[in-house]
Amino acid sequence: MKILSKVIFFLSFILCQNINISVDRNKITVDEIITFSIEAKDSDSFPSFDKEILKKDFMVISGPNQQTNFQFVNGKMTSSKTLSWKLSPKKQGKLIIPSFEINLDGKKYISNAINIYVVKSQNNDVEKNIFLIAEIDKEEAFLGEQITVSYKIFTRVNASIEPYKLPEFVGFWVENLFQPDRLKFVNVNLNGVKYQMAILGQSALFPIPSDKHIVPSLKLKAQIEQKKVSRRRDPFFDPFFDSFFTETKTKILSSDEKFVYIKKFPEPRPFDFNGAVGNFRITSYTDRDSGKINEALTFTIKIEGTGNLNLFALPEVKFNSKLEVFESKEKFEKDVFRDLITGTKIWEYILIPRQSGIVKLPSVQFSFFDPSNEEWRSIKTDSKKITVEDATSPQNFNIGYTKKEIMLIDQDIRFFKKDGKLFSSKQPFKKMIFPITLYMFSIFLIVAPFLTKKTIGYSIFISEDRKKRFALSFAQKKIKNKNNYDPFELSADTIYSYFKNRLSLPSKNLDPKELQTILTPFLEQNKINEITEILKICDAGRYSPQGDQKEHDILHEVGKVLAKIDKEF
Amino acid sequence: MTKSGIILLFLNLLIADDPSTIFKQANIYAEKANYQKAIEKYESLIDMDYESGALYYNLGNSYYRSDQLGLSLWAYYCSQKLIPRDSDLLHNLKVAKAKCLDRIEFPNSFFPFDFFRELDNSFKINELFLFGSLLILIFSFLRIMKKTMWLSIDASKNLNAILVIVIFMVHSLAFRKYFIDYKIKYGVVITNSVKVLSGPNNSQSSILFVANEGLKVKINSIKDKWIEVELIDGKKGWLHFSSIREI
Repeated sequence: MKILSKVIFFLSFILCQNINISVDRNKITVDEIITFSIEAKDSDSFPSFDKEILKKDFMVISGPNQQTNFQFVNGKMTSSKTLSWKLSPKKQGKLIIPSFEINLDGKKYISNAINIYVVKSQNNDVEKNIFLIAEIDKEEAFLGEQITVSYKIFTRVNASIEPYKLPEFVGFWVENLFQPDRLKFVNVNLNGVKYQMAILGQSALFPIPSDKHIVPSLKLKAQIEQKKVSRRRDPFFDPFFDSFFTETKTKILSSDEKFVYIKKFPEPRPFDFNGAVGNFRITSYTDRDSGKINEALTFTIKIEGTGNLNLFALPEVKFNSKLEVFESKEKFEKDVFRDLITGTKIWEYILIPRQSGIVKLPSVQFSFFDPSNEEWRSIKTDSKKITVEDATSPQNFNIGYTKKEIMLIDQDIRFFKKDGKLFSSKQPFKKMIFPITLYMFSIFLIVAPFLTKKTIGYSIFISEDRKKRFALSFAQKKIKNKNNYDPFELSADTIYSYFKNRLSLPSKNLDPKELQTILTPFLEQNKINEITEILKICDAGRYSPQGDQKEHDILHEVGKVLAKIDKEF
Repeated sequence: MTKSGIILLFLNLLIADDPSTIFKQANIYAEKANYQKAIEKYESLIDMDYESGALYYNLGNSYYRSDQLGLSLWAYYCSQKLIPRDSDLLHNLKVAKAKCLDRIEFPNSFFPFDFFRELDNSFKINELFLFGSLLILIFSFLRIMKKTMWLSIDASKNLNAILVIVIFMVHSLAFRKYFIDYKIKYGVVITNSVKVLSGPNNSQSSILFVANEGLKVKINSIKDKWIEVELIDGKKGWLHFSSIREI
């Protein structure tokens, strides 16, 4: 019976929980969207799986959207949890969502593969009415030569475009030229048809060494208004999204990919070529023509022109050994109002002459490839001579001072000291005499107890001896400093610790009987009785509420008895 | 006449030999702004192996007034060894340092290091040893009090632990300072734009860098009339001994 119930329980568990994976349709055109959903019935959590498999053939437009349903039928509750994605196909043909593993409440399920047939867009009207194009200004370029790509949208219908991002360009270094905050449509005439055109984005691409140079397609989602095929006279049918005569449809628009062919540089390359492609001018100048030793001067190299200014470094400049060189600062100023990347790149060196004489600043040579004429060009600056004078007297006080130091320079030194004893500097140990005597004395203090024990045989410092001798005075001290202690407890404690000290017992945790046996060899019986009597009173007082009467006298009595006993030892 | 003259001369000699009188004379010269004379007197005292914080301080002031920045800094550094916490000295040292051409500044470091440096700079070796010996004396007294039960054992345990730590710290500071003061020698560059060479001779070595007066350097080794110095930032080179004075 038990086994049967278990089986039923399990069966119900397996039967109740099931997963349904579905797409809303499996025959679509390229610009349409499918809904892919996973529904789990009577589960505790949402199903989970590796989402990457969806991204292989599809672009995820939105999702996952979560949905939970509860149903009560005849008092029985059923629930379902659904995850759904909106997917747009990446290509035409037969696409497969392969079978995959789903985790649900710690159990694993395997799905069936789903086939989806994607055909070319049948509705040519839409393609004619709205489309994207990617324009590149050249299809073949040298490495480092600028290619300008602009994405444009052409439309003849009313459409609203959802936010989009420009694609990632693999194999290019990208400078963004233009991306509008709001699309501005202008009227254009394309093959005799009037269109509204807007630029979606414009980028300057500089090819860098890579396997492929593909300008990827831009994809965006648009809501397109279409005329209703059948005019329903029911204004309540879908009042939110459709007006009376038109309906909106979501479409995915995409531009074509463009391939860029990379041309090879003509050989031979100049030895100092470091990737600069474009058209440049180079100049160099210093902030002064003459200087003094240890005075810094600035040496500036400026390259201006059009091309891949950010993609190359300056060839190393070899300075005269008389100069101390601080690393260059690099600055780049972009000229924004041009489609071709144009600007000025500046390197600033700080030079400090360390020797006087005439110092020659080197000429800087720089080679680049001019893609318009397809030729190598080499340019250089003139070398320059700077006369460096000796700095004989400390000048230029205000160079390199901090605020604090400038404040100090304004101040004067303080006046002479009149008094003061003079010491001979010949005996440095004289000053140390006092510390040394202190060291000796402390060492003596530490060693003294051992010495006395060795020489005299009796040590005043050994605590056991002292404990014996001062046992009574300790006890009396204890009674005097009675503070807030319970007098009974204190007197018992005093007695026990007195005997502990006096007889060098290992512990003061005793009871009256134990003490009696210990004391028998030392004391007369009546004295022992006197002490045990007090201890018993203490015990009684401690543990019973009636001990109040003796409370005041007990400490006094303890003192008296101990003083008497102390003489007997 | 002659007798009294001889006696006066003799007295004069006697007085002149007395170091505190020379010091007073020098101070009078300094007050009258006759710095050259004052410097001579102060230097003569130093030659006679006398020293004091005030002596070096006044010498530093005199050098400063006669525009010898390097030497004045040298004197201030010497004085700092004897009166490290004197506020006048610290002020003058700051003012003089600010006039130096070569200034190497420590960046602001982590608080404990700054505190340690401050502590290290503001005590003399013998003060540290005195402090240490006093602590040890207290330690030994505590030991005796513990033995003789004048002090409860619990209290003495805590006191002992704290004392041992403090004693250890003070002595490590003291020995570190002793080592630095007696084993590592420092000097101050006393002439302007001194060429620091790569080796101890003028003809065959090249110029490494230029040092200006007031720069404090570590003296590594001495060869004939040449001194190998090291800067705080690790630069090394050789200087002629005439352009440096040992602290």
